[in-house]
Amino acid sequence: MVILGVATLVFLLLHLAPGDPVEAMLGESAGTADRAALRAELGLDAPLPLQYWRFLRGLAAGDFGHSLHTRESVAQAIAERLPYTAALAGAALGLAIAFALPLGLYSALRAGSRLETLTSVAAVIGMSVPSFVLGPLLMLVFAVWLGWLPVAAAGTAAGLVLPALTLGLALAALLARMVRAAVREVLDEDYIKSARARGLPERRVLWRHALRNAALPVLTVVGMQLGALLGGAVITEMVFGWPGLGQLTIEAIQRRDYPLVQGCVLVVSASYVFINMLTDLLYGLCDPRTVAA
Amino acid sequence: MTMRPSTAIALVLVVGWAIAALLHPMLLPEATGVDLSRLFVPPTASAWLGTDELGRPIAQRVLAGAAVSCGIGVVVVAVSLATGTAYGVVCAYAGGAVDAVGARIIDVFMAFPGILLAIGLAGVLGPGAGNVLIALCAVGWVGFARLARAQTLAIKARDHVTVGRALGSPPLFILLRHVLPLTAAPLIVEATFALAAMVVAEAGLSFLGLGAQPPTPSWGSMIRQAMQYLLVAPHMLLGPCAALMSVAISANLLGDRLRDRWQIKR
Repeated sequence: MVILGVATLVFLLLHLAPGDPVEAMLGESAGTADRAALRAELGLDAPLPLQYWRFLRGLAAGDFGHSLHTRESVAQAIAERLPYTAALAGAALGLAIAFALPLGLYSALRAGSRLETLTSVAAVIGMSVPSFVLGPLLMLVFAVWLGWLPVAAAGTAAGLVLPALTLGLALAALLARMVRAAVREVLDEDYIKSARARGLPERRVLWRHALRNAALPVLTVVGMQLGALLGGAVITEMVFGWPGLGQLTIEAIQRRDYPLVQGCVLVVSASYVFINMLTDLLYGLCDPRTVAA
Repeated sequence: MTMRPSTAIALVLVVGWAIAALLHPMLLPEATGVDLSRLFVPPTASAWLGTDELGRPIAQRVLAGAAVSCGIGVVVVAVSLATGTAYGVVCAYAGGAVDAVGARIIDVFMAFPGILLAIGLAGVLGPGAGNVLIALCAVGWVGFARLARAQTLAIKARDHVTVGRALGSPPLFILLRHVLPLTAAPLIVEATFALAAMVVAEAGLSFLGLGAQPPTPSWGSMIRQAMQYLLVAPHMLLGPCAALMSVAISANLLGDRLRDRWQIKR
């Protein structure tokens, strides 16, 4: 249902906006006959509702149409780039969790410590610094000045480090904040006090009782942020020339390649919706009470 | 009222950039003056952030860039705040079918990453500051609409609204007098965060080449330029990055502090 709405929005957006893909393809000097021929060939001469109907029918059959520029199937173009974006998002998420979990946990347990202050300052900064600022700065430090990493190594494992760091650090900042807040809240609960009163070792109290319950709000944020991550990946990919879905989207926009833009935006949005659904399902695993409700 | 030092610094920074933005017409000539005898000069006493690929002084360009970068952010937040709030309040107060459809539309907009929609929209509209403004407004109103709707739903059930209705006050009067004032605090906090987000988003679109076109300086396009000369003139990167970060961090910090002061839960 939401996907249908998104599809409609994307379709309307592209077709109502000024700008003519045929003109972009043929150039301004092309004759009227040539334009009409190409328009008919691409199905752009049909009335808008008919184009919309064809578009939806294609979607239902898993057919995103063909790129206006390369004539390649959109589904195939996306399938080629998707693994790169998935690798980037996955690596970024992994990095974020690796940073945020210990830091958030530590600052929740040691309130007022220097590390806690540092973590919260880093969290505000991390949330405020966009990828196109952090990315070039990281590149400057690690690739240009220190020379530890290649400047341009798009699509290779070494080239993944900086983009993943760029995306991951922002997410880590937010996540660390959430972990701290969630753990601290849970530690105030009665069942933690009773667990401690029963003389359970602190380690067990923490892992069995506190962390499991703190996982829920953290999971929500991870789910929501993964979607934002996909959006942020678009710009990060442009910064580093990473050949993923984001770069494909921008290229498609620049060429007014309607079917390709439609396909890219739809795939990203669909993954966003899918991730949110997955988060809801994971809820049930973490906290069986939510299933009954 | 006491103020933490960090809050004061953030406030000073935001006000400072606002002044720079207002002085834009005076700053522009210097910021766009090409001097081909001074290309890629590293920071010195005469050009303390160095010069760029056309010999233009970066410090002046950063100051002049505040108008586009912050100006668009402020306008977008103002427009989004007004339209989003109106939309959310009316949906929630009307209830029934209006709210059902209205909430669905919000859901659809929330279902995709806002920046992607803005990029797509700015892309099809074509590059330019005006189109960036439109694209960001098209995305920005949703957050305010959702917040205003949720707030109104809660306030609607309160006694003073019921009394107002029982006394026969017209709906518009109830909305303006009994509902809107109570939604103000969370909306202002949201607007502060949105300002940071929109300044960053504008810079993002400019970075992709969709924003204000040369020779008008904007922080996003300056970062884009600096990326191209990263190996030759790394100093070009520092000015615009620092400016952008100072605005974003300050606005986010102010939002945080306001939220604490007014004790708004999220």
